[in-house]
Amino acid sequence: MILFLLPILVFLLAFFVLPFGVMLYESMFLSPLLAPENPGPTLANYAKLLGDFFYLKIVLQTLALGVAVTTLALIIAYPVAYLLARARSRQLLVFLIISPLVVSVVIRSYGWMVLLGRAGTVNTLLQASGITEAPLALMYNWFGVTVALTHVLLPYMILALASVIEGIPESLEDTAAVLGAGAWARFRYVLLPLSLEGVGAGVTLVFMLAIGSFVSVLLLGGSETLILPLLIYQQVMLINNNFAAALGAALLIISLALLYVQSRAFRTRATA
Amino acid sequence: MMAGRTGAVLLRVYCAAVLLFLSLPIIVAVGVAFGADRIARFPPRGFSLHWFAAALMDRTFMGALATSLELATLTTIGTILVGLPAAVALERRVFIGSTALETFLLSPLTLPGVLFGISMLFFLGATRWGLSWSGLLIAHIVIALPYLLRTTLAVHRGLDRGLEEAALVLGASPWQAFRYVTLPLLKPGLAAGGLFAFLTSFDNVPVSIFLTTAQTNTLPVTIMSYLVNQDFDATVGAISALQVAIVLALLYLLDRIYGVARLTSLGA
Amino acid sequence: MARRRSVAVELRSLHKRYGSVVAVRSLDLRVEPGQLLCLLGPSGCGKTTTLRAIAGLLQPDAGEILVDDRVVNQVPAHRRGFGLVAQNYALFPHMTVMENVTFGLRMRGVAREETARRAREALAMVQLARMEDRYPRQLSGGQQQRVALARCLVVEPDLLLLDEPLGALDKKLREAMQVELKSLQRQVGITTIFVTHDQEEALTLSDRIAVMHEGELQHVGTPQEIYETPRNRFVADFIGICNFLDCTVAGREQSAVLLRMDDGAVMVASGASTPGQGTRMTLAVRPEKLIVASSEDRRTHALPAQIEALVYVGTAVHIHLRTGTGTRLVAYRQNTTPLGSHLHPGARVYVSWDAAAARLVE
Repeated sequence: MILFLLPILVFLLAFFVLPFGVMLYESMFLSPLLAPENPGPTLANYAKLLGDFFYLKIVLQTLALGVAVTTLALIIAYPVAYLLARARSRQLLVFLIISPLVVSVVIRSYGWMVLLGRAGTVNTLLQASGITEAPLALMYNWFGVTVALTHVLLPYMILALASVIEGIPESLEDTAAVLGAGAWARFRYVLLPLSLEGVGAGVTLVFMLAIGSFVSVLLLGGSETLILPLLIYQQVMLINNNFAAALGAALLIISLALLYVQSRAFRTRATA
Repeated sequence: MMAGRTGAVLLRVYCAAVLLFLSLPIIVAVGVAFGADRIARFPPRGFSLHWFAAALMDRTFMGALATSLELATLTTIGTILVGLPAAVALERRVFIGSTALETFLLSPLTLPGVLFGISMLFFLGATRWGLSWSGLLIAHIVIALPYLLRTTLAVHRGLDRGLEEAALVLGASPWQAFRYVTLPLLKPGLAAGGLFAFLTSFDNVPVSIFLTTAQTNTLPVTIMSYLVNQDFDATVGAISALQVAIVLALLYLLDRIYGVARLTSLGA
Repeated sequence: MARRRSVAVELRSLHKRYGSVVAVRSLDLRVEPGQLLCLLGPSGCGKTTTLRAIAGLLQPDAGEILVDDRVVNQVPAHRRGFGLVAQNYALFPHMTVMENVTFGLRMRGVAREETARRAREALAMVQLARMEDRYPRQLSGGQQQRVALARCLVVEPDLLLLDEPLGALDKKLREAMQVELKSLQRQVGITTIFVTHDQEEALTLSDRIAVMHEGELQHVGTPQEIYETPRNRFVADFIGICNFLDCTVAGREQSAVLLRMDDGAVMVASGASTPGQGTRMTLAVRPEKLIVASSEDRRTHALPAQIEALVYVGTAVHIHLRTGTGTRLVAYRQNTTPLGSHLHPGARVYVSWDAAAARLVE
């Protein structure tokens, strides 16, 4: 049966693992543009990343954006996931939650640009209703990036939470209610502790996707909203591939660490 | 548990608001295409199909659309060719206890696309393969594979292993048991996985953007370049509307064939 | 854990529908203080819906729920002060036995020392004093069931609601728990509503049984009333095994009704009022009431039949019969004396019964 796995393993080793190897290899050389004489393998790119506050700040910004988006998504998603998990017929709900996932991020970002622009829908409404006088800066900044990213990642969080909430028998909530627990107490003492596994899975997944996302950030961000994936893209555009590779290695390490945490979580689930 | 009548109503209203939030940018992106105005705004002013005509006449957009359709189709075929044997192996539960292998096979799904994009770019450079159609196709197959595998897993979670044994007991050869029992059972999973592979390729930007050339620009990458240049004209809306129509039609098809709820990790 | 008071529960025209399906149709029911009432019926008969409405877990579309003559429809579940033991017990898997049992007291803000004292009392009552720190998954089915009961009783609820609480246990344990539950309920004196689809369980436990079918109440009465004088064919058929025979009313003979069977035989049944002559009726007779005799020993009113099979079940022999018109009957004969030689498959026999043992239904 292992024979059946050969094609995919060979394919992924050649075209998935090997490219990552090439990236790591590239990260150990200086750009031929900067050092035409090629001094051989060096950790200079990493030294540059870790030694310069400008780049460290970008790493921190990346993580901060991840935390913000993950927190927002978690809070927004939980009630929806609950409703979805407990819905009698969920066909339409699932369709509505999944359909944004299959529409290209570029197009969703376009929608946000029309909504959040200086003369966009939101500003027009705000001004027309007299809430604000001058248009607010809703995009090309952290606000726009956070809104768009939360939007992109919300369905993942909802589905991760719902699949776990679904497994919590409704009779536990019923029993808690009859024993005197109000809505908040039922959430706090029954639902939340029992859905922590889903919260963990959703949080790692969304965080990982958030720190690796780049289309929404490129389109709705501004000069200040520099995060690792965007910096990598800029470096590639500047043909500074070797430094881009080092940045990629940094992002890869963070991602793999998260992937490890996630797979551990899955393992405990499998053996439980 | 019903959280009281008011509570239940509040929960429903809240969820409706979130679902609106989820579909809002898509509604907007599609909506602007129907305006009479050149400037993209929502709600659109007036009504016109002019921008659709403009998009359909636009060589760049139409070329990119054709590229995307062709690439997505080839990706689907390639993904099934590479993934089918693995899907069969998954069906036979070779994977029990090997979460590490499963994590590895599904990792292209979770690792940032931008990482794979530049890695592939460096790989194609280092091997002197260069930016090419075949390189782009292979990259798309890599990112589509996990979807095929995951769908097959979702479909066959809980599939009755006894069926194949029953076929063997009834006198079928192992090949016949596979051909007449296992394969038909695999089919819906493969169909759904194939559709997902198509959608993945058709939507992708973070990988494609590093690997496309002027000749192989895909539709999302082309739209992206318009947006980066802050050119929001309504023609972009029209071509977006077209893209959305295609993917939603495919998703609907997926739902008909298979039931979208079953593709999530939710129970039936 | 002496109880100070027991409440009466009353349902008035309770009505609940899901979409176009009526789950409960204008149900009227009263449970007296301290009584144990079983809601009995096949799955989908509306018994669980009724229980959930009483608990406050769903809102009825119409009708009132009264506790001691006070309408509680608008009181949310967590303020009703009832106790519920759900199917599969619904023990909180992330809490220890002690945490499970104290949950209701903590929700009520009872002081810590008192909480601990009352929880220990409750656990002692169900004989689980040493299990405090275990998690539900470390307990056997019977132990889980007792924890659920202790958790429910510790808050001294006015009303105990049990939703098939013994359904997940195996037969022997279930029977032991039935006795235990009944004595516990007596001891505490709490008004109890028990939902089950198991008629034997209902007969064993109940002060009164309410039989439900398709959302409607069929018959309310003591176990004996329900078994001996079922109000209609559904009740007769659902509770125990019952033989049904089609017949036509032929007249009266003293206190009994005379009935002409389809093959011409004239049989008897009890009945205060006589339906008009010629009315088509169904006769219901329990298998243990049938007397199977040879032609020499036949009674005046006897039905000819042929033995199809004899099934030995240990304490009794089940005699499967077929009448001249093809109706199948089963008769139970206790194994007190050896089986006569006239009883063998294929034998032609006569079936009879006492008038008091047969009832006309529908």
